[in-house]
Amino acid sequence: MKVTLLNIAAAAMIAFSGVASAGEVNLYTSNSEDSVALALDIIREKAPDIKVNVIAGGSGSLLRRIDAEKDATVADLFWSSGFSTLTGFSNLFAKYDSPEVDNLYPALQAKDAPWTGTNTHVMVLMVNKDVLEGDAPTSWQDIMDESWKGKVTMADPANSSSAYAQLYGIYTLYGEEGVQRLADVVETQGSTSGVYKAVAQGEYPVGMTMEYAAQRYVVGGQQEIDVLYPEDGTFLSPEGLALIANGPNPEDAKRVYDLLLSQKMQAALVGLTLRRPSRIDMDGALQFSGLPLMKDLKIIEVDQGEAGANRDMLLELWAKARG
Amino acid sequence: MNRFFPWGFLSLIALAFLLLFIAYPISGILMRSFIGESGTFSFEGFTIFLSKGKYLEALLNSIILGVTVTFTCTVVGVFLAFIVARYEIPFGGIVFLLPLSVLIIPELISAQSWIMVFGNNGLVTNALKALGIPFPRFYGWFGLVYVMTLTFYVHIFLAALAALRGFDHSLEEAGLSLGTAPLATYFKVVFPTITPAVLSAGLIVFTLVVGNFAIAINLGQRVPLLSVMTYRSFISELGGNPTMQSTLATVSILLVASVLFLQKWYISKRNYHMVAGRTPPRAKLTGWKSLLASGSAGFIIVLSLLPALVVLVGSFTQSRGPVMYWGQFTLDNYSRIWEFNLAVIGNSLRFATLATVLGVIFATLVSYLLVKKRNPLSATLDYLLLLPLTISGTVLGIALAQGYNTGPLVLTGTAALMVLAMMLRRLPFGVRNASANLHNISNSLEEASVSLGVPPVRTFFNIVLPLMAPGIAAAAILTWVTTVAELSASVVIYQAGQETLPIQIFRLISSDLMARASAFGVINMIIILVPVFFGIKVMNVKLFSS
Repeated sequence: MKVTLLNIAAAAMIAFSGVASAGEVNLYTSNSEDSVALALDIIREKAPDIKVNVIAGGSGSLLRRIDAEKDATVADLFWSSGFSTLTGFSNLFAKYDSPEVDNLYPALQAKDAPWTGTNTHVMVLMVNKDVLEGDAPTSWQDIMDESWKGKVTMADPANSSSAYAQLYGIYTLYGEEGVQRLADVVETQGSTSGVYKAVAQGEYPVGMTMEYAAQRYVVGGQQEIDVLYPEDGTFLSPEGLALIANGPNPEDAKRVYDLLLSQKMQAALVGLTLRRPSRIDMDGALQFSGLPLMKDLKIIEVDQGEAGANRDMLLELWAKARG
Repeated sequence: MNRFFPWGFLSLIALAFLLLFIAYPISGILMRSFIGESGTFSFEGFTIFLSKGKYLEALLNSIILGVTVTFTCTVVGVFLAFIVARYEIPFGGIVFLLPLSVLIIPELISAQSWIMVFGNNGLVTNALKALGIPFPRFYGWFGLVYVMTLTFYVHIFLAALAALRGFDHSLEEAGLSLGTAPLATYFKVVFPTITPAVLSAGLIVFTLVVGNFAIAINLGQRVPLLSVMTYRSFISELGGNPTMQSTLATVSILLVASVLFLQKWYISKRNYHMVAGRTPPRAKLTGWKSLLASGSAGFIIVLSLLPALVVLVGSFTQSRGPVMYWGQFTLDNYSRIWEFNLAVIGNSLRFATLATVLGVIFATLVSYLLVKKRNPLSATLDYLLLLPLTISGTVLGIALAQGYNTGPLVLTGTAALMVLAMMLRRLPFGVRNASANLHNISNSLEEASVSLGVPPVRTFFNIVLPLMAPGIAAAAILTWVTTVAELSASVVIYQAGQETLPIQIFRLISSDLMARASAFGVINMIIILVPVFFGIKVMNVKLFSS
């Protein structure tokens, strides 16, 4: 019922505002309301002739909805979700080679896929100095030591996609033995948010989480929180934007696509969300937001496709290691 | 006159509704717990449940927590009731606000506010930290028992107060005159007679604790609990295992059902009838005794009402991301709602209004059928109406979502299912409220009307309904209050765009954005409070006539 109502609403919006010259773009987005509002402001400023209709929701339900609407596509753009999630819906998207793609980090360009990286999660260690006894860990290797048993927490990789990215990274770096050692020391939380909350609340001195989630506390001014980028390398979990195949307004949608990848947009968004932008020319914005520069991070290359393909195998390995 | 129309026919409709939306989804859950991954009959779910330590640990923790909180609630509730019933204390008037505090402060908000007081970065925690005193860890058993006790003791307080007021004072005098010491008299005469009432309330507390989701998930991170595990099994980002979801739900149904059975058995063995009791006089206390009695009662009352105040202050407090700056005030949290989230308020109002209207119509009709027009279907209706009591909101949500995601009637993902879940949770209580004064309405009034030639349906509307009105009004207000605060069932079944206030609060608390959650909390409390206030002050509805 909800879906039909929204469809009617979307159709009505399109019908009523439909002077032929004024462009329209139907944007399906899983981003927070304030991110969307900020993006709309910039689009309005840069492309005043385009009217953006926003349909908001969770990424899974939006993608399923786009799939359900395939016979009469309403959506023009989908913004944004993890590469691994997008893989499951590749047939919904149309490839668009945005001129902005060359300004992105190679790992986030996704040149072979029908989407483009807008931002990326970076896996970090979040530390609460108040409850930390002794020195802070500096690497993944450190926390896999027996002495950290019970002091490190992560989300359950079977329930959380970011925790799976962390586990896959550890597996890439240290193989099966690493997975076993991690399983021996770490305590898991039921959800992704459980980790950063537990560390912020002083439940655990160290948590494996995402950069933006941990940096919110540092930027917010909670002094006992530190964010550590492990010395043995960190893993990215990129998120992307996609053009919908057979969307009603492809030309205007491509302009919005370019704008979502533009420097001004990404600078504004990183300030608001602390999610690391995909562009290479963001040093100023990163510094302003209090995030370390990309060149100061040691990044371990992870093939997102392979990470997805190995999911069942690795989760089974993990379950066995956890006992 | 037709013997089937209209009442037999309406009974049939009510029965069909309950079978379709209560019996069918719940039996579906029970059945699916015996279906393995291969789709055939198996004990796979229960084998996993019994062989994996984490499930048994969660079950054991839930039982321990249920028993502990029921005990602490009994101590606090009976103590407070005793003081209020027996002694004149200076602020006796405020005590009658207490039951309301439970209504206007949903458990989610009480968990939220206590985190803001005692949690990390909480008011008290920070104040003590500034003084160099470390505050003990609030998350875990301590926080769970503390917050749940303060949230649920009122149920026992109300039951004990009613029982103490009905207690015949001459019994106590008899005990005293036979030479028993006052304290011994209390234990031998007074407490046994109020025990059945307290036990019934205790059972409610136990089921509330075991099924509790809002407080458990926010405070019990290191304490695995059955309710949270059931929710997680269903909500997992990557799709869960239906066998395990059903098994967990079945275990929690069995747990509550067995406690229900135990309590019935216990009460059936003890039977006290008060013969027109002479209410004992209230004693005046003096000196330190007065101070102690009124002080401790006052302390409990202040603690019960504090969450509302904390959330109010929190909603005006400046924050940067998850970090709150107490003492710096702002309207940002509200202006954000005005800018972005009016739809959430709209959803809450719309769903709760529909659920209340439907629930009250149904409760009115069914209570009339059950009390005045008993027929062969009535006994079945009675039993079906008990069923929602044995399941927590989470289980109800899972039962509905699983039961209606395929087949001829697909409701999963629709707003209709949200309304249905909210309505069903409150139904047993609604029927009880609506039938409250039905027993006192003489059949002869109705018969007179019918014999004068007025058709039965018009008689119902003209004669019976006006007499039922006070009960219906109470049912409406209480249904409204619970549906506006409903979280545990709706959070399992909602889709994007269907967020209600409690769901939004829950999500913001999950992301650790307490200031923004508080603003929604205040709006939620206002929406709850307005009809309650209107009902009590303007319409003179008695919500707690016991």
